[in-house]
Amino acid sequence: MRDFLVKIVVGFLLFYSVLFIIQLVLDRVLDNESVCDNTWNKVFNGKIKSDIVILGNSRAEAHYSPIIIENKTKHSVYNLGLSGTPLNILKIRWQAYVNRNKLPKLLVIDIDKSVLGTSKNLFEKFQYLPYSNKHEYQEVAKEVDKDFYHEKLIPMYKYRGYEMQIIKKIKLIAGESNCKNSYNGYKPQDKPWDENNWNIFRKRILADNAVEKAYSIAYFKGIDELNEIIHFCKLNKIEVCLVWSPQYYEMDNYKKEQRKFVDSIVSEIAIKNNIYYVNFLRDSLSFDKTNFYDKSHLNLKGSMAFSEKMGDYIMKYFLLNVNH
Amino acid sequence: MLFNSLDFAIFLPIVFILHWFVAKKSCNHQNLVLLLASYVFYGWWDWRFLFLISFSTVVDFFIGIYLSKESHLRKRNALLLISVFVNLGLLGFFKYYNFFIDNFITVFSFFGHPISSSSLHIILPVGISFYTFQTLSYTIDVYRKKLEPVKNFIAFSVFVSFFPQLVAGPIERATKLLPQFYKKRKFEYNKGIEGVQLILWGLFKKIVIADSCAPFVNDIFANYSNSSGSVLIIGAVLFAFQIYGDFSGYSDMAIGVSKFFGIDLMTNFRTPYFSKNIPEFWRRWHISLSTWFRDYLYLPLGGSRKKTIIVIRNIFVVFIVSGFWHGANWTFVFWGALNGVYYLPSFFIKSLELNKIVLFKNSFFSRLLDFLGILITFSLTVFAWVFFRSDNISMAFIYINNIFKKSNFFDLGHLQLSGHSIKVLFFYLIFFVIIDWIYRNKSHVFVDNNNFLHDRIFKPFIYLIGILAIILSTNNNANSFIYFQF
Repeated sequence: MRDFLVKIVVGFLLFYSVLFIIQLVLDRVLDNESVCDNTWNKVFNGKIKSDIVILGNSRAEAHYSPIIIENKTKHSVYNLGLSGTPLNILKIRWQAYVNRNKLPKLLVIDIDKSVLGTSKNLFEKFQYLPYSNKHEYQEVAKEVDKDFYHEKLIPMYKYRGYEMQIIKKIKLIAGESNCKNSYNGYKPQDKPWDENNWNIFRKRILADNAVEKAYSIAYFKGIDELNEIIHFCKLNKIEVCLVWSPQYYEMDNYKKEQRKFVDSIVSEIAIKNNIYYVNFLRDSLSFDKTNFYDKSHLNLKGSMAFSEKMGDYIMKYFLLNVNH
Repeated sequence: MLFNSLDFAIFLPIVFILHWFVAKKSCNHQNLVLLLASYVFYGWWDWRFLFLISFSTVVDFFIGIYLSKESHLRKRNALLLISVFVNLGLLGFFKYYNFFIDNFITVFSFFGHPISSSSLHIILPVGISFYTFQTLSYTIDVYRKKLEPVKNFIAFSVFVSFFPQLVAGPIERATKLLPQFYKKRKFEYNKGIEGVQLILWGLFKKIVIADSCAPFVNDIFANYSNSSGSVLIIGAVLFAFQIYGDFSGYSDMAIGVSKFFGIDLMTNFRTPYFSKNIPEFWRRWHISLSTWFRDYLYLPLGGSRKKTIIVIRNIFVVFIVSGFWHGANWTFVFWGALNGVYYLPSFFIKSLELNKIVLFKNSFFSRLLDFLGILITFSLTVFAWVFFRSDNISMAFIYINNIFKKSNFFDLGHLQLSGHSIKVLFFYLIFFVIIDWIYRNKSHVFVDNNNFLHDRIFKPFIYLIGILAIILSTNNNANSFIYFQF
């Protein structure tokens, strides 16, 4: 019995250690800068030294061109936008950014009703896995991810079901990446308006509109997160600008009350904190379908035009005393 | 409680410690721990199931005792009938009641006498088909005077409810399992190590093979009308691997867990997909059920020592009953009958093993014939699995028809499944088939110390791949085993 138990314990510890080492190696391999989408690597390794930083979800990611804004403002810009991610999850990126990188002079937060919502899971979780030992990730993940503790305890368990994505990323790291148009976190979509997609959305939303959810509760956590970020910026003398970037104008016909509610809350926050809030929903960009590829996202053409406007806006309202 | 769950990972070490450290004084103490553990294990699904198993245990225990005291044949027959009636009655009610009612309604409606449905909402107690057959084997063996009835109620209760094999077998014979509960068990190092190996291999089969095949199989069988011929073939082949990995994986884990408590269970699968003909397949697939039907149904019916027509009847009876045992659906009956049809040629041609002809022995032709035999047997088995997996017989026929009918035979478009990779599954299947091939003539994997897998460097590497594959393939929720429904 003694020999058996010793063998089991030793064997367990041995395999546990080897698996743990494999996980560490894999984490290091996947945490790589030489891929198009390398923002996580830059954020967690303190490589961003930009004066202007943009925060938000996929709309931020696809709308703000750092090159154009840099050209306009003559200040370095980084786009921290993250697809499918509201503020309660975006906190991972923001916290990692402020803890490990040079603080910016201006923070632009792209606002809409989605970014202020609350997510109960990690969208595209694979992107976070190499950083799961970082405290910024753990603080958020333990709240929303029911597998958090299992993944922490069992080595390699966090990578379950991601075999193909691991291989794909390693191939990208090893090979040449086609990073056309991507720059400093900006991921534009060079595609035209999809009418079919729009019609499907309209049918779905009309059915959904019958019962509008109790949105004041839905945004409670998101508003808290926004206030926290603004508070941090105040303490660290970072200027903040809230922006509701363009959405196709017909969107205004749907979930109107919800949109109004979010808009009024954001206005209140802006007034209370004495910060700028600009809403592009009535801007000319929002009325032209050719600027969009779907109801909420500008395409490459639209995002370039919007970035020009944002560059002008920043130049006009924010005086940045940064030397290059 | 599933073997592949966190609950069981906590439960097993507790029972192990209680069995070997707390209850080490006597056999009775050890049996008591196993009995309590078995009832906790079974009650974990639904505590109401415990009444059923207790009832079955009490009835068969006392019938066994009365049978040993009774010499009058008519009374002995009556006692046996009570046991058969109680056990099969429970099984019949819980498993087949609604099936028979629904079919009666269909038949009456067909003849123009529609009657209203009175189906009950009956929960099928997990593993009832397994423990019912196990207790029946005990009463029949006592009746046949092949076995002395057990006097120790605890030992008998453990025999009926022994948790590793309670819900999905192997269906043990009283003659083999019961004596192991009569004497105090001592821990054996080799058994313990074998147990660990079998549990790991069982987990690999279940989690890596069966559970990884499942999403593809489910998707293909759900969309069989839109899938190409090649995809439908892949679906059927993957189901063959799914059901093999699932069921044999459970058996391996059951055998492995039993070894932790010093109990040996019978081998239930011997690499069946490497069988060269159908009779060999049935000697290698679900051995405990096949031999049960052989001993308690086929041989009592006269076996193969009767007239040809009687033997053919016997073969079909066994296969159809075996099919029906799997579930209350005509698909299982058809599957059983189809296997009966497959089996018949072996009766007419006494030996299908052409490689044993002296001329071919050990030659290239012999190996080629073996290979062809394996390929044909596997193809026939896969074909039969389509009926087993389908919701009804007409679906199975449409599925098979679509394989040949569709014009876009090579279109693999329908194999795209979000979150699952066929390439990864393919890699795991190759690994699985290689290991299975290496141990094709052994009772279980890792049993032979003379091959390259036991090399000091290679062995840990194989273990590492296996464990890594298990971790990477684990679902968030432990998947149940297919055979639990039977």
